[in-house]
Amino acid sequence: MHAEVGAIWRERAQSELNAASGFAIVATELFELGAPSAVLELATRAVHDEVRHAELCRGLAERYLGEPVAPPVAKRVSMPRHAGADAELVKHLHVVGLCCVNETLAAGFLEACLEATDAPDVRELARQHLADEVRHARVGWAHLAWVDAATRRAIGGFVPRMLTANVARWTRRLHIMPRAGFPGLGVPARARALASLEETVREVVLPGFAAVGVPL
Amino acid sequence: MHPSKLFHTIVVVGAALTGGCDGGPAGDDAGGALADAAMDAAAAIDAGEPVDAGEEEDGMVLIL
Repeated sequence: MHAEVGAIWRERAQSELNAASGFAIVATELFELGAPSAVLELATRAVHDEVRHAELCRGLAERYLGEPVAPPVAKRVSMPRHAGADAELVKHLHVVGLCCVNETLAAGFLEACLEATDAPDVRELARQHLADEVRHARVGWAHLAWVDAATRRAIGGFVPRMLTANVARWTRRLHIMPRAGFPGLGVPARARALASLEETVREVVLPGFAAVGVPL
Repeated sequence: MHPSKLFHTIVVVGAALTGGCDGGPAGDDAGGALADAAMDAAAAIDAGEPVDAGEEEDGMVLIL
């Protein structure tokens, strides 16, 4: 069991470092879009947070695997192309995809992880991680509240496909987890993780787009 | 944290950093239909049914 838990944390270490790369790109694009300082502050901090998360996850992987784990590979991630959008709209869509969708879904997932955590150190990590993901998700909602109505309308035209594709991707990723999860070790049962995904889509992401005036 | 609290913590607090929002988590019919479609696809994947991964390949998703 510990080997499986360790493998999950090792995979998450790579995913966290990839998220750091994504935020580094999005932060640069936010500068290019002239985003307000409140958004820039959160986005640039997120790069640091995700690098730190990668190391924390690697530490947990080593603990459960009982052996050294190589650091995750630093690389520039490939950002979605969003065919049909012009260059400026693509930058807005990158913010929305990473923050309003991915990081918001991640916050819901981490809540499920927190529920499934008894080990004090893992619980503390999950709590810190959740607090960080909440701030990372806010980047997107703060950005949408700042952009003009025409940009919101243009973004809204891409959200349905983006959201459906992201939910499908998340579902595939959840299948690396054992069906019963590892209660107490921060790995929820797959059904609980899928339920958290649905709850977050229905009760946070979609109402969020409505609340900031993005028509779907 | 209840999803409605998560909505407030993420969306309402986040939007308030810049322009704000009306704070109402009321979905509409389009949102409900979209959620149904997204979760139907998720259920199919969970059941092991073949699902077209074209959207990912079409550049809609950041692969982390």
